[in-house]
Amino acid sequence: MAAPLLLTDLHHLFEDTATAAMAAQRELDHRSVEAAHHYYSIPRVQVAAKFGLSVDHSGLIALLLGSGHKEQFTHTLQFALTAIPNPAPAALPPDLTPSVTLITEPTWMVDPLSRRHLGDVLALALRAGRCRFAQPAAPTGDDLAREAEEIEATIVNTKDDSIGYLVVRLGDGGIFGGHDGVFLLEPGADLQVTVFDFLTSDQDWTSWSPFAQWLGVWTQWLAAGRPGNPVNSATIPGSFGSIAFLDLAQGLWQAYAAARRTLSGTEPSYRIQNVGTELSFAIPPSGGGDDDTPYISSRVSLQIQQAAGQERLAVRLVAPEYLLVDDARAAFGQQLAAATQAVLAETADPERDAIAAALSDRNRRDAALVMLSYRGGHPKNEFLVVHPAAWNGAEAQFAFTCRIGKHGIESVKLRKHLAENAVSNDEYVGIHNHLHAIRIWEMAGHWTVRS
Amino acid sequence: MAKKQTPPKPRKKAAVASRPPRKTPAITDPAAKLRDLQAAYDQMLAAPDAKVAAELEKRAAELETLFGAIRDRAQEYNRGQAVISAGSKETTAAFRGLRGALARTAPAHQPVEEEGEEHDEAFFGLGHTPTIQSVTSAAEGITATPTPDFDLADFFRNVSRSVIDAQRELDRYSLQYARQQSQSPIPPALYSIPTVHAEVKAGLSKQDGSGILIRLFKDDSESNFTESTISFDIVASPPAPGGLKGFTAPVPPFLAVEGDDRTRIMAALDALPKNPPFTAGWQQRTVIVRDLDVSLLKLNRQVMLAFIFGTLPVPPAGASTDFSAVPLGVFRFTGAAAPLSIAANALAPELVRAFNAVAAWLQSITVP
Repeated sequence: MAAPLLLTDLHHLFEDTATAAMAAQRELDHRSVEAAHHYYSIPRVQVAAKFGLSVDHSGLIALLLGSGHKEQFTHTLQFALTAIPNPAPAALPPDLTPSVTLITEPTWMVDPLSRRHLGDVLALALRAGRCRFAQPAAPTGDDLAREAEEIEATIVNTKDDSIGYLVVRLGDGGIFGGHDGVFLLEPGADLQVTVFDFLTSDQDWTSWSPFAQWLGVWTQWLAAGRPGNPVNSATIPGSFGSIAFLDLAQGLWQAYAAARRTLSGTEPSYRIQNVGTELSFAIPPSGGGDDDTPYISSRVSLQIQQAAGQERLAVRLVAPEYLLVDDARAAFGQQLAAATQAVLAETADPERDAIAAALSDRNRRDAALVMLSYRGGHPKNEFLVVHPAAWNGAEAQFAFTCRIGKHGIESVKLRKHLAENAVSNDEYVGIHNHLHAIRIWEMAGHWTVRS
Repeated sequence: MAKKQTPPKPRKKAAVASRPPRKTPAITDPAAKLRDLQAAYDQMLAAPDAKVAAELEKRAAELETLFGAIRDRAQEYNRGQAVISAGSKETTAAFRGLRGALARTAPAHQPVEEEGEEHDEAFFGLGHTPTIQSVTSAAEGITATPTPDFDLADFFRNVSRSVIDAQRELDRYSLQYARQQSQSPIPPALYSIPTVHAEVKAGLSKQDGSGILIRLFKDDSESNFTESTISFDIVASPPAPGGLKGFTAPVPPFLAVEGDDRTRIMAALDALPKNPPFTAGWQQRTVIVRDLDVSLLKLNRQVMLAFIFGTLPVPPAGASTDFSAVPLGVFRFTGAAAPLSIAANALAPELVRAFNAVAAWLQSITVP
């Protein structure tokens, strides 16, 4: 009788695969010598499993690896077995918990503690007037003082060592006449702050430049394979959404340690390597009737890394839910490929040809950033797309918002024109709602939420 | 307006009647079946033409392969290396293959029992056992338990066997091809399988006994969110990790280079007085040869020879090594008895014994 694999049984999957590989290698050795006089080896075995998660009546986590299950979130598990001829004796990892844990998040992400500190720096600079103004209509001292008071609600979206920090104070996004505060913070510069927009600004547009810089950081990050930086905390989060993450991390480690013990000293010798899992979750659970949306999920990976004779458990935020990556991005891309006309219908001459060319250019299509952009307290299938295109012989961007309904992409609205390096108050709503999506994610506990 | 009732079409009774009902095939006596086939082939060969001859040659080669597989298994059984039981996977696969081959090799007028289509691929495909269907064994009419799952180890083992078997076949055909090319100015080529990539997409679950089961998907609808991929490569290589212990090349069976035999003999030699050739480093200058003569094997008697030679002198410039000056010790070990030193004037039969083992080994690695 087949049953789901419990987390506590995970080592059986490792060990059975290794046993199968070893038996097959022995078979090859035997038959090679006896019959064929050709030598064959199995240098590597790879397993990549998709699974769902469930908790059984006794509280044990079950990995639903078999067919016939459809999960809200699909997670992946992979490992490899590598033949090690004449292995040198190696120390076995601790049985229960890893001795070293490394927690990383995307290089551009600012942790909550640093965010509060930068908010203080910004408020101080605004009060002291250590700022320059990117808009013709400069704010008064009162305007800056008001911004400084409100800055507690600030969002630090991203950082770039060569640029500094983009800080946005979410106001009402221009909907009721008020503007978001948009600042570039360079703590080491003489003039630490550049003001791009502020609450009481009477301008009907906002510069696109700081957002282009910010999005450029994301584009480079994606192109570089999404590198991460270590975070200050070395504590493994207890849970992600409904996933008992700490239990899962410990279970994976214990299965790995048990498999290492079992495989130690066996002949032929195989070493288990590249053990890891990637988990998908949403905080809070997606709402608005999009319960099984394939587009909204944060990704966290667990990897057992081997370096310098020691193993460690590496926990990594692969991507937050507000920036679509991997299969979520691919699923959106499929929808977009079928909705080119819906986008073009929203564009006017003389940009239509350039946008049509960009949408049909696979490289540019792949380079487009797709981000959540919604209003309200729960994530929805509503997106901001920032798409590269050629314009007057140079690279430029256009942006649009849309939602995905039962019939695909709909409600397309252009939010940034190719020819402009600014967005109107109405167009800015796309950016604002995206920043709102980030804020919701952070308010729900960032990714290091604990149970 | 009422819809006009259409009377059901009469079933084609004649066609149904002419087709025998699908039944479980059973070959109660494969040898008798083969005798029937031989008679049919004899009939064909009585009035051969080029087309028939070519077809027969092809089919004969196929049968050779299949009988070879059965013979191998039987030999393994005789050597005590495998247990063949009716309905075991290996036996079933071999007989399934045989039955499939009989179907293919039968002349057109020869009636052949109906069988499932999965059999051909089951035997010749890489994943012959992983083709999990309700399999009816031709051997003794035994029916294997139909199951949607299979063991992970089966998948690995059967792919491995298939690679070796395929390479062996390739060797045979390479040699045939080389012979055909013997009169050609184009040098013959030998073919080998450098790598085989095996991959199965399946669901995984736990067996009651805690083993991992692979569940193959019957169709795409079952593979929605929980498809797993298990893949591995089998590559032609120097001897596999661990396969040759500490050696980098295969060691012929007549040489005892490790294991209990060598340990025992080296210990016995070590206990002897340390006269020449037992000078420093003698262990590296000791060669132990097994006498693998068939007569000894039948008597279940083990005879081994140890050749120990002294340090080779450095020859003068421009001269070759003078081996006549090198001390040589030869000892015979019969069973567990103490070593018997062989005098110089009695060396000839021991040398014949040693070179007979070498000759037998050379014969065993010659492609037939």
